Amino acid sequence: MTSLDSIILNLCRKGGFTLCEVSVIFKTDHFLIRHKETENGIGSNRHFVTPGEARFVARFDASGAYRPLKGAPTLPRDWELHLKTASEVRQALDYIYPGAIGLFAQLQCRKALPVSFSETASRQTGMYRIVGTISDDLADETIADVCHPSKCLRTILWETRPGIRPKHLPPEKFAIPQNQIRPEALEVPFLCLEPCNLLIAACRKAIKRAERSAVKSPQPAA
Amino acid sequence: MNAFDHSAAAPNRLFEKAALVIVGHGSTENPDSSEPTLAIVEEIRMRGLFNEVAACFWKEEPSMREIYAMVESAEVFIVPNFISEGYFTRSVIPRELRLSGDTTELDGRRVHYCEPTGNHPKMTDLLLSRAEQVAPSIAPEETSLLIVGHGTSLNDNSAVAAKYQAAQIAKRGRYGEVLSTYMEEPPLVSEWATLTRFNNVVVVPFFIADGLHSYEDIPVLLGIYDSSPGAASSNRGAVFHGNPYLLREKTLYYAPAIGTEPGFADIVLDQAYHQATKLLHDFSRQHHS
Repeated sequence: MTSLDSIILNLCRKGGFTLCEVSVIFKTDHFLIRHKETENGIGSNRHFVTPGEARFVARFDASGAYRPLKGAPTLPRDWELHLKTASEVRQALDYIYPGAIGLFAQLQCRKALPVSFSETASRQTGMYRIVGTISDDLADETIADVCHPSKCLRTILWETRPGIRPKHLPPEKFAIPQNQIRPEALEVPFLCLEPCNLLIAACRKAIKRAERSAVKSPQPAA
Repeated sequence: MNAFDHSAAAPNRLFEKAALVIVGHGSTENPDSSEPTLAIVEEIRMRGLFNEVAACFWKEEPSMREIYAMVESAEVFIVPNFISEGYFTRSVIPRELRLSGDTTELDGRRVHYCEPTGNHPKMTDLLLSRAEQVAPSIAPEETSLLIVGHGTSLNDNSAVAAKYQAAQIAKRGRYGEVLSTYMEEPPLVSEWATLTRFNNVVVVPFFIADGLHSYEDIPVLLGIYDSSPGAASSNRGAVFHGNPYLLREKTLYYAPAIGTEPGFADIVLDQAYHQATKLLHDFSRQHHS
């Protein structure tokens, strides 16, 4: 058993845990993963027994729309995963919330190393090279849009620039949830250690939109 | 490179404690883009050869920057699931995975960078297998086979790869003629009817995954659709169920991309075995010379 699997086992021994929209508990002889809003299995029409099937759970929302951003608060509710081992639970969770347990482990060991937006932006090449030129205001605007808690459930640990946190996002976006030692569940955060390619792509689109607006509405000559 | 014996002892001992990471392109628009890579992960997991098996992507999650949090093994083998060497395998993947060569020492582990799947000689067999599946009852010696690549100056290596595969297939002498064609440069796939000698024409896209190009763009270029059915179409794979198509006085057979072809997992394993064998050979040479 790996150390990451041990983390899952220990959390389940304490009564189970929640991770964003899912709950994980141990029931007699198997681990049960389901949407945390699904009480007592009501509404769980799809039952899965292998971790690989978790990728089908996370791929689409309830309306059938594709979910490329796995932290989006749009996980469907009509499913349950019944798994045999902590290792299978980790494999399944890595399809639903990729790397969440590993990043949580890094945080606990104080090995989580965030990478700033400016560093991520400046290393881009090809069609995304332009993102390195984004203004601070446009970056903050785009981050506030793409990373808002209504669109992504991750907890941001990175800064826009060293010492400067992204503006316009609510404080809870940066707060590691306090472990809630309830009889039922602890709460594991889904950490964001650096801006993702979806944010980088959104920044590129924002720059292109701004350029087109500038062309349409040129500033008068002084 | 011959196919590797996947029961060979020395690489397997290395793999028992290693992680295999398969890197795909992924997509923010196409839900089918990552499935070939994820299906390979599941198949290789079932074989139990590696301590851990995982995937990561450029355009969707899990991203390359998260993969090291997802695997714990001290040895990591990275296999890019890309159709050719090029911008992604030479620049983006090494940058995002912080690689500095064939083997990189990174935070207490050794990360081994393998060749992409597209480099493997078996790709030719997979293309042939796809062609035979989509048109099993026609005489190949009276058939034109078209291998379709993307082709643009931004993606020169994919055009070279498609041309190479067409040449390899032609050498086998099975099909009446074999041509490489492209979406965006000559010879254009849109001119398939005038490019081909035979009335039976089989078209195989040289892509890892089905997506916008194979579901919509290429069918429009072939004349199967008059216009794109739209990215939101819920019937994405329907075009492959309509074979054969009677178009431009010829009979056209259109195949899906090759990434879901059985045998792809073996190609990924071969690329990892090839790298492991090089490592073991170099180690042996250093310590016995």
